[in-house]
Amino acid sequence: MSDQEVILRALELVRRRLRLSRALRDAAIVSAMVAVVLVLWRVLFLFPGRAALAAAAVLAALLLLVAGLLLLVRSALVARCTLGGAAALADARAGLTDELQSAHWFLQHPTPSPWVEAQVAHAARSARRLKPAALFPLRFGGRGLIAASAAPLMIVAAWLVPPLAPPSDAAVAGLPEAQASQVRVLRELADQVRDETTARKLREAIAAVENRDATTAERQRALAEAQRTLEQQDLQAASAREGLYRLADKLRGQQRLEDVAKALEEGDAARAAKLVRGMASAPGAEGQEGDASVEGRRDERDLERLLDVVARGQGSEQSEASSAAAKETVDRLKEIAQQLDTQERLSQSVRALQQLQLMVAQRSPLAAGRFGQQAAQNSTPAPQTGQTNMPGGMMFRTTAVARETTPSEQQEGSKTGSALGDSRADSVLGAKATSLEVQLKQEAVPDRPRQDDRAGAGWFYTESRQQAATVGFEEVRAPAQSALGQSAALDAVSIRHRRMVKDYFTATRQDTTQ
Amino acid sequence: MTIAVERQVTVFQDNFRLVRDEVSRVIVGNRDNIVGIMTCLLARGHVLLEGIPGIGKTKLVQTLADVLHLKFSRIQFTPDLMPGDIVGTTIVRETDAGKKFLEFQPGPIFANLVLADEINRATPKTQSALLEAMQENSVSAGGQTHALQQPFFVLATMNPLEMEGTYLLPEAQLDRFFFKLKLGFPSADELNEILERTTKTHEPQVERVLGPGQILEMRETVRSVPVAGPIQDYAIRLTLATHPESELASDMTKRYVRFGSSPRGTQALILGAKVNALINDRLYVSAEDIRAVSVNALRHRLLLNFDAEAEGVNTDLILEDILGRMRPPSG
Repeated sequence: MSDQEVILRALELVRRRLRLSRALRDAAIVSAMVAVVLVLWRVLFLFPGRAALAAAAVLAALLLLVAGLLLLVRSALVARCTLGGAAALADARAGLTDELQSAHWFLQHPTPSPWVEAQVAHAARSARRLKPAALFPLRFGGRGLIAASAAPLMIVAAWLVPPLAPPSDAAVAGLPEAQASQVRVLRELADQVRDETTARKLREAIAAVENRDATTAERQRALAEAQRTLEQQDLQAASAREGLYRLADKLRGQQRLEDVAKALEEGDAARAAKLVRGMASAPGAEGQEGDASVEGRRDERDLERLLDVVARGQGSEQSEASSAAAKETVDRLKEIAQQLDTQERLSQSVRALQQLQLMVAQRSPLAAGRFGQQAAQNSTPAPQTGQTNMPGGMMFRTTAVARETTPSEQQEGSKTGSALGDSRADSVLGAKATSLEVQLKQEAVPDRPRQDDRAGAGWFYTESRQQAATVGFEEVRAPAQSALGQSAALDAVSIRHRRMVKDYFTATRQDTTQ
Repeated sequence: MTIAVERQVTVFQDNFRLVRDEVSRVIVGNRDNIVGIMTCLLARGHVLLEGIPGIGKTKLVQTLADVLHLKFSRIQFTPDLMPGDIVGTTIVRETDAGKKFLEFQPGPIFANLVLADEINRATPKTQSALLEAMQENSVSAGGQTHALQQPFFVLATMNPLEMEGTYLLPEAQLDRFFFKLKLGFPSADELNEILERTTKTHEPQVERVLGPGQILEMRETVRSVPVAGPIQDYAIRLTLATHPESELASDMTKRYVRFGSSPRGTQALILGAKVNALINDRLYVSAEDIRAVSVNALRHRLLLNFDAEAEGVNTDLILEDILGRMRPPSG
């Protein structure tokens, strides 16, 4: 092998090595660029509400990727590895001080000179000792190594934390996931509930929450409206349950209606309706339209009367009236059964609404860091509650307050609960006011129905116990404006006290049993 | 053929080493300057030595003349020195028969090794008397041109401190110097060695190790060294980078340089690099050789502007900047 061949072969080996090394580096850089784009995509996936921004960012990322690839291609073309370039690099790495480069040039430009021949011969000896693998180890290089190690890390981080999940409808609307789940519950309920007013209120509340242009006050108002409607539904269901129980109590003496009474006592309105339908479909009884006199009577006294008619109509001439009453009774019982069925979902929805109210008040999806900074919008600004307006700072209560052990007249804002001072004060009821719960018991819970109820009341109108109780709790609404301040709507009972009212009605049956 | 070339290189290196070691017997330190002077001698150039008084400039040249077995003459440049005092003059002679005739009386420049001591103390007219001799290796006087004996080598010294009563060297003359070497102040050890050598009874003596014929052979050897295209291109780029109007000029060049190096500078780069390559046992010139001689070869060829003088920027700084930025040859 001539000196020329030796030199060219060595330079070719070096060039291959350089190409491989460059390909590795380019691959690392391209993978890093792809990883950056994927991570960007994943990050945008977390904020799906900003569709325009996401589209622009994705477009920019893709353009960046394309530009980067073009630059890589261009640099690969410009920095095309020639044999002369390979010789220069080999000289630099092997400390040959331009020997191979000069020899390669002399080979390209032959000059009849003994000096040139001597130089080429000397360079060939150096080329034989050259070890391209040792001179050019396959490394990524600084940037390539960083890119190669960063790319998988970024991809893993993007795909595992947090895990991939398709965006929900609410998320598409730009809501945080916590709010989105609550909105989902409310939307399901709005689709299922039959009462149009309740459904409309729920949809309005959902629209207010999802509307990014809505103010916090508007959202709070809509949520409060929806919650009041739901609680009304809840109260009606509780009242219906209570009415069924009392009706069962009354029917217990009648032998024909014993099974119906038992079903009503168990709160199983569906079974009661089935039993009534069975009684009405007995021989001699034919279904007819109910007369106008019984339409619209929607309390347990109507049901009692209707059941009485159904019981008395068994096998007698009054079959027409009996069958009409039976039909209405069945319809009424079905309606009650549906109310009871939705009661459980209603309470779940109320909780969702309360969570939403809290989030809207905080203007943040329950970020922990916001708790210490938020100004509780519904609380009364007062030193006792820790909600004093202190620009630039937050007042922390350091004085320990003793917990009351004996009942005493509440002073305005003085009852703080926990000694740590982190409890909210009770609503202001006034110095002379007794507690709301006591008033409800006094005014809205007659222990037993009066004996002259049935005799004195007209059959077309009888005040139900539920109606009486509602009037009662409206009368004892907290008079102080500070209590109203805790409610989201100005004309409503405090949110905290609504639970008391509801608990009262749901516990009525238990009290009656005792 | 390769063996012959290598033998030639070996002879060159041996001779070079002999001269350097012999000179070093008298001159303490300054090995780089000894190599620089030898480079100029072997590249057919002339050297300008700059240093403060008493630093050994004249001693160095005298020692070199002794070692090289060359005809040596010294010209002490003074303001009243005339050109004829350097090149010689034509005098009227009379034969035994009483016939008169004109005869050229050669001046001190007719020597192999000419020391132009404190060259900047003579007037420009006198300084220019050296121009033809340095470039053409000949002297014209009395209508006749007299060739100078080879090797002809001018070593001029210059004192950078005393500027009063001196005349700056014309640019044309500066450009004719192959290298401009700066002799630095010796270190404490070197001073101690100088005292040891010069204050005792016996001063070290040198031997003549090289004759004119060997020097001419060495000059031929230098010229034979091949230069590859990328390396020559590197030298050209380096020269162009000293020109402020060039695309290759750095910011520093554009700011401080009025005129860059002449093509003689590029020649000096290549020839000096060839010598440097031979000294370092290379049969070819590398970019490293170009870099090694670039400051000595170009520092006196750059003309700085007022900003550079005001800010104390010298040509060495600019050349270092250019060398730092210059992309090495890459095939």
